[in-house]
Amino acid sequence: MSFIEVTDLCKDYRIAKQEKGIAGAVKSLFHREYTVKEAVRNVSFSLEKGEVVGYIGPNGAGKSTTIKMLSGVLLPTSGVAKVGDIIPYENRKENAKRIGVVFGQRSQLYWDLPISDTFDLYESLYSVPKERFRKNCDFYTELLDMKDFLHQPVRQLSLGQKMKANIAIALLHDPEVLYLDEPTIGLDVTSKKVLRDALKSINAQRNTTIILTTHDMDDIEAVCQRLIMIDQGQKLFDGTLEDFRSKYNDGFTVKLEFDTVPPPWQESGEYELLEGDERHWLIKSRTEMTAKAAMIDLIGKYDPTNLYVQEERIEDIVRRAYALDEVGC
Amino acid sequence: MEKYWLVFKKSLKSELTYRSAALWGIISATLSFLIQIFLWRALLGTGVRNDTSFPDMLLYVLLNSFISPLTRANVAGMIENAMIDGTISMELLRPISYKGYMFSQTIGKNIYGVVTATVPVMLISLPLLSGAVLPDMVHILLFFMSALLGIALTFEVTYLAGLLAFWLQRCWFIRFYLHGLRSVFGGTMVPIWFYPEILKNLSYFLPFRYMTFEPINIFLMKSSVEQAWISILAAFLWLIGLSLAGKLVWRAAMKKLTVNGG
Repeated sequence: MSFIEVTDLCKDYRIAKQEKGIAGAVKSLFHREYTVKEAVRNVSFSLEKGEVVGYIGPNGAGKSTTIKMLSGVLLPTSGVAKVGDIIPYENRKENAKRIGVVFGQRSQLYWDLPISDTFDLYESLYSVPKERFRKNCDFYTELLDMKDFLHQPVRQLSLGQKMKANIAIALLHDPEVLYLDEPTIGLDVTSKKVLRDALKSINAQRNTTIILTTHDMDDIEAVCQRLIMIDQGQKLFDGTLEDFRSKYNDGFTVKLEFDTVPPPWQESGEYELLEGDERHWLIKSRTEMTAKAAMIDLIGKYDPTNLYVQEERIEDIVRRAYALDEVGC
Repeated sequence: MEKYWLVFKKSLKSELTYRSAALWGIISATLSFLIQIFLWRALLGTGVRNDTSFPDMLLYVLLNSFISPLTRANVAGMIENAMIDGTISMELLRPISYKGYMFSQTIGKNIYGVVTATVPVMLISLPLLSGAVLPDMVHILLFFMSALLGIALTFEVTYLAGLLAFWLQRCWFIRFYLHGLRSVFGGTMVPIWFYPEILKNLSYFLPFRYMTFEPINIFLMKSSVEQAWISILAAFLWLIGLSLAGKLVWRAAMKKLTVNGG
């Protein structure tokens, strides 16, 4: 019996069709058609205590919906989710005590009050012992560098500052599980690094189970040992980061920039021209060639002014992974 | 319990950050109080109609202008907003009963306005209150019981109606309907004792008269001790019935819930 057990989880949304224009709006007053969107389809996985899992997929894949069911906010249409013997959506309050959640695009803070007030509220909401609460407060204020804005009203804080506060709040009661839904949105590079290090050390020290959704592959690489990928509500991949790389991530892209009109593109088996206009080319390597070899080769062939090597974005990987699986079956 | 107390305090503190809102609240409370007083003065003259003297009416308006704003809640509006922008999911993440949270939030939001508005209204009415008969100890105790039940009942009704927001998505009109029903069947504008028989009888079958009308009746000693107990019992039964209904509706609402915006 694993710590988190998800079996055949499904969630459907009913969406009212809206026709265009005023005539359509009037029509929908009398008769409305619905379409059913399957946000999550038969997703199953299990996690052990202390695992750190990256949950990835393109926009609208069903990541947040899964997390909302795991945190007890949404009821699944069918299937079961269990977090440490509790069914979250049946025991919302029980479950809430043991988890910490950050939704990257939402805030749990009191808009008109300083962060410290929200901290107070959470202290009593979770009945955290005073001493431990103080310690955690100091610890996270220090860790996330929040001292300067702890006493400013939240409405006057920047996006990144609010994000830090939300992360701290999710952690103040030492949750057993941490759900992070795009926690690095709006953070600068330094803060991202701070957050990743913090997550790693929390996981190491407290054996906190972490599920992290993100669009930033660097987040995953920095903290996750395991990766689950979904698209259109279905699980496509579940395994270690290395497996994922060897299965899907078979290359990198190179961006070339030209000051003058570039020489004509030579079609070859080694590269694929993804996008190209007069000044920019986006090239993907097809072979097992190293980045270094590709750079030297491309500079020799086309003499660009600038050259950047980029890792593939998750969106691209997922798109290709999806195409692969379609072909595969 | 402590967490609800804290929600109350934080909600009150949020409210305190907007001082000008309180000032405008005082002005509007004073004005509406004055309008009602002048109206009743003109209507009643100095005589007594239906057992109602001007000081009675003054107390009636006075008490109403404390209790009503204290329970003024737009639960439907709060849920509506939380649904529109999806913050409902954040609220549900907290280990706290949603209803208790809403209640503490409401009282915290209202109490500042009520307390600040009380002072000028009291000052205005003090010199006019000389002829009023104040209740005895028994009635005062009964009044407090009945008023507390009334506050709870008001919230229960607003909450239950507010839960409709989960189905309707847009529900600004719920507030107006509630306000209308309270004005008519709760006697917040005109005391129910002036009503024609049919409306009067109808009001006994609805929860609204137990919100402020019955407590005030007790305070004015228009209800005997027995009548007071009956109205308290009725309010209590309504409270139980509605809170059971609220539980059922909440369960259904959670099944229905979708969270907007990712």
